[in-house]
Amino acid sequence: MIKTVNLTKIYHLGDSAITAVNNVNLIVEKGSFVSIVGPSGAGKTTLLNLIGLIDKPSSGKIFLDGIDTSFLSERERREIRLRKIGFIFQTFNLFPQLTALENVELPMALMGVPLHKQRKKAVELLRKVGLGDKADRLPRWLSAGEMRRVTIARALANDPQLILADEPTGELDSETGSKIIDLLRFLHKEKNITFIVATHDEKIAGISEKTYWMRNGKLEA
Amino acid sequence: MCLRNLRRRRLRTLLCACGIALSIAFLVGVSAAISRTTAIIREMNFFFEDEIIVAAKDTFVIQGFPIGGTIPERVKEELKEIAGVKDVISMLFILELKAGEISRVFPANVTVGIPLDKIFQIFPPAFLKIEGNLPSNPYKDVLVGKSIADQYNLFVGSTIHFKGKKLTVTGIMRGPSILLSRSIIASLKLVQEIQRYDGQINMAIVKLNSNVDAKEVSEEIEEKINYVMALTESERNELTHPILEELSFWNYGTKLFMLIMSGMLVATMEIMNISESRRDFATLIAIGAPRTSILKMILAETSLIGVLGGFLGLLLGSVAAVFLASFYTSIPAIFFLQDFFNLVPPNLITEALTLAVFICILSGIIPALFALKINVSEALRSEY
Repeated sequence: MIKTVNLTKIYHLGDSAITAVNNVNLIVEKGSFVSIVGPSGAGKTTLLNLIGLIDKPSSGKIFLDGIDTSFLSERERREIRLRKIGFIFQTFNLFPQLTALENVELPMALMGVPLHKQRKKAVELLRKVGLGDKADRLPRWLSAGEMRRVTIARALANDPQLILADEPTGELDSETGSKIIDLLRFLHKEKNITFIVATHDEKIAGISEKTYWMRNGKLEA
Repeated sequence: MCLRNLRRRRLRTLLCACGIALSIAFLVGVSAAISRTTAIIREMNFFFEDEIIVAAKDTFVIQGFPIGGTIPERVKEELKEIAGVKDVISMLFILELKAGEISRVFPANVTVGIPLDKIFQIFPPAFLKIEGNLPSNPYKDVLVGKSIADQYNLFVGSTIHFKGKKLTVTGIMRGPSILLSRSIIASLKLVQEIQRYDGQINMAIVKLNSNVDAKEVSEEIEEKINYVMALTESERNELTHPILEELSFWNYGTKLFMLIMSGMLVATMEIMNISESRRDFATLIAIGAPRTSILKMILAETSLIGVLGGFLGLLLGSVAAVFLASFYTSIPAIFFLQDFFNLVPPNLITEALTLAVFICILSGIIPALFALKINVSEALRSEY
């Protein structure tokens, strides 16, 4: 279970302060599919970064499976990111010098999984997302939809308990977007992973068990 | 991943490696020339350890050997009368520096005239390994250094014409000495005749009795024979010290300059690479890589560039060293290739490679430390 208590993130730009996340209280049950919908600049990405322990809050707390993350060291936060959380970034963030297969293998390599096991699992994941025949391609030889599929496969590599997806259908045409939504729904059902998806795509909101609206850093159910 | 990064930016990597290669090539070329010169200078004194060298007053002396200036051969008798002197060996040592007939026949060589029965007293057998025989006929026999013999295809028994004189090669000197490899040794009489130094020598080697203070004897020599100077080993070292020090200064100065240039080049390239890879680094950290892995990755990248640049530079530098040596001595390059490790010693090769890698790692540290401080959430949002 994920719980945030009075979560706030303020960015300071010179003399001015911008409250990207304002007093957010959120509870996400294990295995649920939650959408956070809102316009650009609403604070969705910042909220995901806070929950994903990439960023630290200005105030408030985040509990992951009952653990208060504010007391965790940098190393412990990294371990949680590596072992428990899968990230689907808004801008793909694939490593351009690595093939699709190697991109998927990377989180496993960081975990110290033996190479032959990495390869086997990466091939399996790429096949699952429909890219079994494009494993050896560099990202620049993949379409936007295919790159998104690779990021999804990479997010699944370490069998995470939580997947944080930031605009997973962004930059995709509606048909490809629909396929990605179907894939996320399928993975959620198959693996019982908790999904928190930031989006402004109403189709995703449609398949979510719970949808929150975010405006000016504030979260509304 | 490092290799892929370098391959991805292959033009930049190649240019950077070429820059380092040029620095290392320059470093190797200059060091090889300087270390060869230094080795020859040091070797000069090696032959006359614990002995006093007597030369004409105010002559320029490099270690054991005077450049210019003559003294009459009869000085030998005067020297023998001085207390503490055990033996005196007269010698003509002529560096062939002039262009013309001589340098066409024996370019950049050394002609040594010495009483034939004293050869091994001056040049110990460990240095003077002779293929053939010592000269027996003082009017036509000569010993020739291996470098000269190889260059002119001379063998034991070959005849050479030198200044209208027909000479016979009785032996080839095949020792480790750079100096002797470019020398012709003949009887003092013969060299005096060929070089037109009738009754003249330019140095006398004074061997001392045991338990005699060399300094005191040298002072006595200068007092009693007013047209000579007598130099002990330490005095000769003092004379040469500034030359060696200056050579060393230029050697280290050049190295430092080239290494700083290389370092700046690598640092600039790495700063560019890092600024282009900010989002990649942020992604790595976000998915759980330790920040130190970024440091390792950057340092591995720069050290790979160092290895690449080092090997390229070594190759270019070796070629440059061979051609420089060939150009300045008029000896065909092929002869330096045969004796390559004398020109570019293994310790210079090791030093050049180590320095290339070290300076590249060092130059990568500061950009890497900046990369470690990356703000992950901000970098994830950036374009690159």
